[in-house]
Amino acid sequence: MDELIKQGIQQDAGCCQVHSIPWDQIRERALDDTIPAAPFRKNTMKYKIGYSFAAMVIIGGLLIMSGFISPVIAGALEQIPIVKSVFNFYGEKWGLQTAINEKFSTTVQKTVTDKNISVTITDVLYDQGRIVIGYAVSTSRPDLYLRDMLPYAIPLPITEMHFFINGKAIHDTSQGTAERIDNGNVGVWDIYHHGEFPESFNLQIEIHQVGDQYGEWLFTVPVSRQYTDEATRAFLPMQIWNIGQTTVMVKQVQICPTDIVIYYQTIQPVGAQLWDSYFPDHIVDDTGHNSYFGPNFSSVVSEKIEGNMEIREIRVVLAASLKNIPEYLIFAYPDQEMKVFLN
Amino acid sequence: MGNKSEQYVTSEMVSRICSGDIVSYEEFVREQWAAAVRTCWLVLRNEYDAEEAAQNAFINLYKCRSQLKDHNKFRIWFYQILLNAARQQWRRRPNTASVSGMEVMDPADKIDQTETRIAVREAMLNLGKQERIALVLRYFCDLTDREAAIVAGWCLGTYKWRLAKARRRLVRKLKDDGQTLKEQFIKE
Repeated sequence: MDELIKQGIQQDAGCCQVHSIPWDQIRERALDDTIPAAPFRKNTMKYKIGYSFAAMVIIGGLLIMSGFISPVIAGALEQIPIVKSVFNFYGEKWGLQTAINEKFSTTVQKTVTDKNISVTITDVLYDQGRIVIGYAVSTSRPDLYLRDMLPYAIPLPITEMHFFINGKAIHDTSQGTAERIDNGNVGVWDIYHHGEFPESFNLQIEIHQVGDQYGEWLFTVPVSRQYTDEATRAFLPMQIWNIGQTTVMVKQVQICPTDIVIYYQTIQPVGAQLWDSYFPDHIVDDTGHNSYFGPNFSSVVSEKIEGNMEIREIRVVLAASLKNIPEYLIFAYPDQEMKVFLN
Repeated sequence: MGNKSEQYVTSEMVSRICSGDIVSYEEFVREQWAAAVRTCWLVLRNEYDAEEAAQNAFINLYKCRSQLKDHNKFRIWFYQILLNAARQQWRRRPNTASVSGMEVMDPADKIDQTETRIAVREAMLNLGKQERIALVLRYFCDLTDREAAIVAGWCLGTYKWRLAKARRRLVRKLKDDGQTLKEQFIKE
């Protein structure tokens, strides 16, 4: 099928009529030093957010300064919520809306600056499915700022993040995303743990390289899932169905404040395709709320062969902001829908 | 472009382009022009926008040539520039993205190939921009997962997720169309 898709796309591309190369025009514009290179990913929305952010910082600064002058204003300042939350930026898209609304996330706001590069950990959330860390990175150094053509301004890939619990490295799968703001990036990192971490611990984050720049940005962030655990509900549907040659059993569903964690078992003949068989197109709750969006993560917890059958235990974490515990979830496959009742 | 371009873009040529040699630059533009336009066209689905994006990409490449530190990464770097140019073009003229022209059958095409191509085209038009980019990087540009994630500026997991989603919709469309064709054939 991959070959068929490849051929289809290449044939489709071949239908595009390519006109002659406007070489003279390209040459003239390339050599014209008065024309700057096109800006990278100019995104007006991000710029607006960047400007709003800068405006808020200025206004906030003025208010704090006025707090030193007036005790009345100083009192009022205590009531102002912290607005520099990266989680607010991502919100619904990354399943963080409930975390924000219900205050399950912890505001951190720790900044470390080295080599004129500032990294700020803004928020953190820890529940049964994942640890989510909101961060911002910015610099006043244009050499670094324009170094790369990536959609974010400063290269800070998740491979440069090192996470530790009490000095012990976390090797669980992590992923993240970043968006460019005015002079840096905001982003979130997700660590998909396997539920074996303690309820509360100090998470150490080490960054030793940002782009080509070596330095030291070290953080210790206390995290706890005390409140998210209280809000988490676990169900044991033990529901079974067949998709092609695969028997799927949903053993456990955990509805967390920002995730749905599903434990499957699949039984299929040796050699059957894994990913195509049990993986639903999307999962919706009883209100039709699409809970299968944004990041997700699935891992094979264990697998074994019995006779000519492969048996796998699979854990899937879906980012989801469910407002209430649904009566059931619908697993939508291309040809059928399965309702998994939570009782 | 893709793997085929490796035959043309030698490290020597990359060094010459990065040092500002206009002759090598012209050679590169002439050899990669068609593939670059087609890559942009697969994303933008508009010939004029695709050519403008490709043109901007080649100009940006020359202007930013000194920024490329590792010449071995030239190919990925160029795809990044090309994709960013396509994205900028998309933002400038988002409403022209889904203009589909009249289907012209190439006499060299076999019927089933044409059906596949049309099914792929229709499925791609119904995909979101991100999913379309994932498909183009994988199946047209021949990039590895890791390279494609870097080019798109996404995390590897995000890229794989988008590719799987797009691939699945394509496969379903191809299967549906295959079934329709089969039914028509039986009726006839």
